[in-house]
Amino acid sequence: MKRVLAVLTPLVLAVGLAGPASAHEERPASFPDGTGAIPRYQGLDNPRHRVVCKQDSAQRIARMAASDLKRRNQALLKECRFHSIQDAVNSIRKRRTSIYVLPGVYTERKYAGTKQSAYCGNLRTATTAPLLRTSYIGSLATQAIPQADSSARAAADPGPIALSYADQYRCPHNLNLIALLGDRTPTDSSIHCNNQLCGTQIVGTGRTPGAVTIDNKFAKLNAIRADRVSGIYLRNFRVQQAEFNAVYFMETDGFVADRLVARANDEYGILAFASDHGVIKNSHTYFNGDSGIYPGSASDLNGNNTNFAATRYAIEIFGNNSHHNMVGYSGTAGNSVYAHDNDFHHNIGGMSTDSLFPGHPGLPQDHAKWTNNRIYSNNENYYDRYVHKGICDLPMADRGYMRGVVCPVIPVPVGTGIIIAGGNYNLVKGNWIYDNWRQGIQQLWIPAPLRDELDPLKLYDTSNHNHYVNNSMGIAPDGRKLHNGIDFWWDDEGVGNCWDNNTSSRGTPTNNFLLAPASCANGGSIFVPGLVVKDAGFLGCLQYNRADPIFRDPPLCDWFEDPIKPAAAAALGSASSAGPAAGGLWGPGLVIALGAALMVARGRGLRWQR
Amino acid sequence: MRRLLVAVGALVSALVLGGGGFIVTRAPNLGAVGDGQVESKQKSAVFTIADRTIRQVRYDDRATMRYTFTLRNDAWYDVKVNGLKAEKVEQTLLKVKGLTDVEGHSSFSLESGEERRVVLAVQMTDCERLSARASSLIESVRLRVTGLAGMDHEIALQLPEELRTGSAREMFCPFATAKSRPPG
Repeated sequence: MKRVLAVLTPLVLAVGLAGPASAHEERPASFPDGTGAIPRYQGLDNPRHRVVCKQDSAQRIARMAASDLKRRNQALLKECRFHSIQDAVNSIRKRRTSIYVLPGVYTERKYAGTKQSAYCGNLRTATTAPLLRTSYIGSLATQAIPQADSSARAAADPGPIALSYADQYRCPHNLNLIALLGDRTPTDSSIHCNNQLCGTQIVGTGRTPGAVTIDNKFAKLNAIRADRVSGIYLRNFRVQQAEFNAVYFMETDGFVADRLVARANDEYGILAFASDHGVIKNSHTYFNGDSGIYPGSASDLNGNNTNFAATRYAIEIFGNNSHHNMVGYSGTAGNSVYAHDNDFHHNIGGMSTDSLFPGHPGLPQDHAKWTNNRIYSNNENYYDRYVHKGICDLPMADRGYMRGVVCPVIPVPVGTGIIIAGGNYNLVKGNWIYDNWRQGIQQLWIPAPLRDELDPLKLYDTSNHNHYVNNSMGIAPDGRKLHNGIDFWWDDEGVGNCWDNNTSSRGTPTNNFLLAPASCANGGSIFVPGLVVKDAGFLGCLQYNRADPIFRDPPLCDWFEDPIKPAAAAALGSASSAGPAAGGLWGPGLVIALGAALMVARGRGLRWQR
Repeated sequence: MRRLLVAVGALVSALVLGGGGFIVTRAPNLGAVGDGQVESKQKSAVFTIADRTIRQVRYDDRATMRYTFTLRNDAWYDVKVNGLKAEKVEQTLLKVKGLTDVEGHSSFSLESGEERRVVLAVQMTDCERLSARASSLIESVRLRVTGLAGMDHEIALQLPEELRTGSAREMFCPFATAKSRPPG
């Protein structure tokens, strides 16, 4: 009971009280105040618009099949005054302006090779108007790099990543090919969009997203950065070859990514951070070294909500196809995200959310809702195929990302459909989860200290109150039986977790539960004193460093081994096939659990030292 | 009969000498026991997961963590501890710098059965070479020890807690830049 209280107390009291925190290798980020709204697409006839084209746009339009769309492109071509998307952005004078991008390939050479001003080129040295140390996050000139135990800074290094918003505003192309920065008053405390860029729409006018390509060619860290630009709408184009993000929404209240293709990026396809009123829909993401779609640190709308039902979702994600990435979808602190009717397949892992990494506002993760997704065949072993064979040691542009090389940035257990590595109040319902050879769904406890949260009251603040219901495990939508390695993997930790009414290719879903939890209606799992977490192997895996010859395959980590394809008709010998216990906990499982508890001699408490 | 006695004697001598040699060459048994501590200026917490006890230390660039624990000589003879042997696999973020007794002696004797508080110095460094989502973990160190008959040994000493730290984000990693490590 004491531990249950220890779990509940911080959930009730702590979440949502945190102030700005450092972000996903970013400046400290704050959540928007939630007064924004999801923007609406204004079509191809917004009277307030700019037209961007390339030299060959006319030929590309000429090749289009006769249609209203072709005629509209021909008309827009006559208005074309810009050959750079960023130039068009910079020309905007009024809000809710649409930028129509005609078919072509846009490398934005003018900005890809921007000669930096004295200020922007010397962010590590004295500037003409240096920011206060507290608001400047990058490296400081006064600190010389010690040579003895540290690699020297590369000559072409653009400097720090985590610039303050003020420096992003002043130096928009240090890190970004195309930058939209909507807060013209960077020194005040507001993060509201308040300039002419609010409500900007960038729209590819081709028949398919591939007709308009924005190719960063790894020139800048991000291809498109939308920072504090409420109401931004990006539609119908392809973005590729960024080291960090192809499309990046940051501290933005109101955004839509619609019919985008984001591919061949070292890390993310489409990433939203500390944002609200967002939609990512009908997009296609592949060949990304982290996730195709990342709604991390979404506005923590339910951080104080101890009811299972969410009050509102910050980001909705639907109709997307995300494959051949490290993971199809991920989100550290992926709070209040509603993902439905997507396909996440042929990645290392299908979907994940976690509370593993410090510095993400809104931790621990809570209240995601994942329904009607198809999560299948996530068995790609890019560690073995590319990292361990040295291909990821090549310069980024030479690795072959456009041909399908993927260099995973963090460790993921190969062959997993869904991973919840520290999360609360999540609903996973009505999904098709099949042909994931290691496990269909894995849930594990993440001790709070791992995210540098050292408060002993928060030690067990994950993973609690997660519901897995009505999922089809090992069964494709067409009825084919394609087993998961094991349907449900759980470390036996946490309270209120339940697995109800799931079907399986093996009849009853297979699992590794030591103690069958109660049904959702009966409160789910309970705390069993002395019951040990069954696996700590992930700690070794977290040493993974794809650039290190030893730790690219950390000792005692089995996540990178190829999982064995489950035999067509065989059930797992070692896995039990337990459904929820109907309110009771007595049975062989309990006997085993209590036996295990008696065998555990060591204390489990957190000792604390500052 | 005399031949037989000589043969048996030789055999016994060989066994004794061989056994003695085995005893002399065998590494003494030292153990780390009891609770560990780090200096108060380092923020840390300890937790147990599965059969492992982890001390998570908040990364503090270029700072040296002084981790104190009890070393016990489980051998039946006295030994001398002569510091540490370099690790075969060095962790990126955690560099083991030395082991002393609490008075700062890098070389000290331990009588049979004696327990002594010792300090392991570990520098937290090089976050600029490791993604902000990766971590380093030390579970053992290699001690240089002199045992019976002046024989030198190298002993893998399992620490009472595994020491772990995570790579710092850029704001706490002063030398990190866009190219110094993978972002993330």
